[in-house]
Amino acid sequence: MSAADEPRPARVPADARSWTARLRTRAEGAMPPERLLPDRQPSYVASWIYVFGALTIAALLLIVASGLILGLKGPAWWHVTAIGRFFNGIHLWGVELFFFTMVVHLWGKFFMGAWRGGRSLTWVAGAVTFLISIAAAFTGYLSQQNFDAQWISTQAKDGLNSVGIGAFFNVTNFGQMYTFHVILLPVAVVLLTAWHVLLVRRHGVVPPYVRQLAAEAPARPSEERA
Amino acid sequence: MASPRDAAPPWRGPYRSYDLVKELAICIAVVAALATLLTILFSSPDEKPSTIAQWARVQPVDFLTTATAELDGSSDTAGYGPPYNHAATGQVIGPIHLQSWLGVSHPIDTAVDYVLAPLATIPNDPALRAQIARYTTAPPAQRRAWTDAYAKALERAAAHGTRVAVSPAGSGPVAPMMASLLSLAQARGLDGALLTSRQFYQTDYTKPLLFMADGSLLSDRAEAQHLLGDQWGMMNETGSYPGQVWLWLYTFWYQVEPFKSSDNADALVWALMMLLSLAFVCIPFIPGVRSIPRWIPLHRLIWREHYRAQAS
Amino acid sequence: MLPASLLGAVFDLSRRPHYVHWHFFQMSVTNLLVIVLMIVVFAAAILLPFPHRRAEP
Repeated sequence: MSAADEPRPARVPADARSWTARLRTRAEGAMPPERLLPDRQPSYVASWIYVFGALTIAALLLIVASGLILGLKGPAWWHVTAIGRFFNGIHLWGVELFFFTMVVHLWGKFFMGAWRGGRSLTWVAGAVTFLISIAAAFTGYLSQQNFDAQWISTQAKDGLNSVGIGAFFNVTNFGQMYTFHVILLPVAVVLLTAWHVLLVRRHGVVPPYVRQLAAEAPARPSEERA
Repeated sequence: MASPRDAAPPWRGPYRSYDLVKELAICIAVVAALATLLTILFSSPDEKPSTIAQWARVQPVDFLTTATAELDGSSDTAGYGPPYNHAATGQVIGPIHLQSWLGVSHPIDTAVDYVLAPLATIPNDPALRAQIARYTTAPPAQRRAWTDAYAKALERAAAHGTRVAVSPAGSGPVAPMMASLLSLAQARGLDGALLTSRQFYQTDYTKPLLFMADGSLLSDRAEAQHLLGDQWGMMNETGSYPGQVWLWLYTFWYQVEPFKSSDNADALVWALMMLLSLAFVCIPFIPGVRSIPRWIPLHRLIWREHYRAQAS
Repeated sequence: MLPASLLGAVFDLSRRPHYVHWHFFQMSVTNLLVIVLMIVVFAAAILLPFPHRRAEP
């Protein structure tokens, strides 16, 4: 009997030696489609504060899109055309909105104790994203090629030089700062944001603090992982 | 170990429909609309950059004073230390000398780079060449005497438009050298010379920026815009535009002792901010700090519906 | 510096800035406004009712 005559099984079991199969199985286990894109949330997710994470991502998308246009036309464009100035405005106000919504999101997550239930890494990822975003904004200010960039670079160099960072990160070197700003740091921010969001999807939105009502016994002593 | 009251057991209660993709789409529309509105209302700031030519024209005495300091090694850049030169050891954090350990990665010899090399590019001026040769072949003590005399004379000098009337007595070749440097600067030759001295294509503005920062032009502009360090300048933007509000804690330390009057202020503030940033990232692991949400129970407002449903 | 009208800005924010002073504390009026707005928006976010459907068991 040839191979073509044998009935094909409904699902081919994964070859334990195949790296591809093992990676796929692991990814599916950690993040099945319903967990990656759920269409339901626990009933306690019912507050405007929950929207600020999405608003921050929206602002980041706007920053990247407007930044792409500014980059495509080169760093001098926005100084000499009205349309360039317009997109520079979108980029700047996008950044202001980004930090605004990110800070409100951060305050909300802090007062919800969102690191509980095995979600410490989610907090860590978010906090690191915040810090890297500050660095990305900083290199943006340095890339402006105007008086503000002149002043910020000649001032900031002292802080960075004092701890040796200035030896390899030269804020008065426009070429270096521009490269950090349009490629290196945006990639870092986007990857960190993606990691943060995947962690939120993985562990779910943190449940409310267990409220001790007067007549009840104390809460369980051990902390369970989601 | 986390407090038992921080327990977050897996949710076994009801769920409700929640459209994440639609939410994100609406957020994108809202943010794009807001940013467009703000741009139409306020645009974005763009104060034109200063140039060495402007500086030499508008503040010629300050330009000459700075150039003399670069020549005799008394300017901020000349005495900076790493990463520009070995003139100082740099700031320290206790026994940690990061600034000097990371070394001189962007060498600048202020006398050569800012004065002697640019002057050497001026063609067809044998008198100037002779003065330069007289200066460079003189012993250090003689050179010092000339620059000191010239610097003193500049204190009494007056600017008449773009010209400077200064008494050259006792300054030897320094006075004619500086006069030529001023002309070169006012003709925009120094902006170009400092940028392209080694290669045609250039994106590194370190040399011209450090030269201007050694003078008063940039700081005068900055002071008018509240951008100086002691004006909490790090948080501010030019004009009335919103600035970098998130830098409030970084600039705060510079306003208070012991940082305010310390020679190592930059290094100490950086070290402190690195520590606080690490603490911020590690909040979930810091006892006390991670309990603040329980002590200040804003969560009761956020989850009031849930608690009400639980109680009933 | 081109006039604001030419570049689409309705309000010209490049004029002399306004600052508040209190002891050693200094802040631009704009930055203060941004911070106040953040607090107001945060308070609104946690106080305003969020429209939602009935929960399914």
